[in-house]
Amino acid sequence: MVVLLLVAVPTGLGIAAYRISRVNTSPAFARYGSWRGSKDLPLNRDDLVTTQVTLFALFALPSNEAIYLFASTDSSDQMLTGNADYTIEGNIHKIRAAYWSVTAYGKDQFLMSNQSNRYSFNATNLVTDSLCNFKISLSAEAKPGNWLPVKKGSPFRLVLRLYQGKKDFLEHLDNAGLPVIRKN
Amino acid sequence: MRKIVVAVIAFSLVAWFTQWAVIRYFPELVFKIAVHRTRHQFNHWINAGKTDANMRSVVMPNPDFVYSALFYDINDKPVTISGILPDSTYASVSFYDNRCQPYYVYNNLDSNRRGKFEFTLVKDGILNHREVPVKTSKGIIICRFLKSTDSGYQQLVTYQKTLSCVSK
Repeated sequence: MVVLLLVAVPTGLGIAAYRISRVNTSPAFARYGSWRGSKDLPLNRDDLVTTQVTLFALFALPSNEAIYLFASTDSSDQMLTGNADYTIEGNIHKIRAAYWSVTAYGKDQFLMSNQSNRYSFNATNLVTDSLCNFKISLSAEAKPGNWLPVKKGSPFRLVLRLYQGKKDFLEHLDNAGLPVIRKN
Repeated sequence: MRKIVVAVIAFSLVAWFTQWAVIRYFPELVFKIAVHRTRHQFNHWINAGKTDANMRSVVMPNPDFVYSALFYDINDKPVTISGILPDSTYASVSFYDNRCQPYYVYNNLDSNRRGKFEFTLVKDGILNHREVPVKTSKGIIICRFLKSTDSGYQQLVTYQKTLSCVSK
């Protein structure tokens, strides 16, 4: 019996790790194209979601201040990896928030070191065309224009932060014209 | 047969309780680890440097921000924090409980909130923001200052230096 109980504890730990890691399939996070996130996270009301947010977005701001949208797949639902090149396409005017940014993180959830010290783009530092359309190149190799470096051969994740988004924009995120991530 | 049934039930109960406890108490554990990593320095501002690939103190930091943090403890005395929020770019002061979850954010998007701010945290609330209960006697406060340009870092360091904390 003692042996059985000693096996039960690591089994419980394994179940917890499995449940926590399944953040991509959590019903608390809605899907908007490649992006997943929530406009009203049940923090401190749902233990699993609270723990997932603690682990994957420690000290994030509450939903009424900022919305965090995560992408680990492209528009074809394939995992983002530094073995391929991608383009993020969008329009500055369609992202209606006081401040927003797109940031790339390595599989360890930290910023990826690169020679140009470029980790993100926001509305103030993007190069756009005359209609405010933008394209961001995601690649391990240097690219002209808006180049967001990623690590060669390694999976990565993108985070789209929306601070103080306009109410009607946040209410219709599914067809709000969020940036699209396409494999080249 | 009865022994097997009892063993299966005991196994299931222990496994279920273990996974429940991990999921329930993980945020408290993370808070305690964070406190431990700062050597239990409560009521003392920690000003982070540039947010880049070398930053390892928190996952997924925003490289557009410069961060300052303070672990508060109001068990013995109330704590008053103050500082200056810039008027040219986004900045905020956010309050988290001992489960690392936010319960109040004060930002400078309202022009009345630019410039000096001051909060006194007591056990039943924030004195000058009475509607905000201090959820736990220990927690963390994080200041975020948005860089308006790549060269704006040094400017934000001056705002970090205005942050103060007094226990009285």
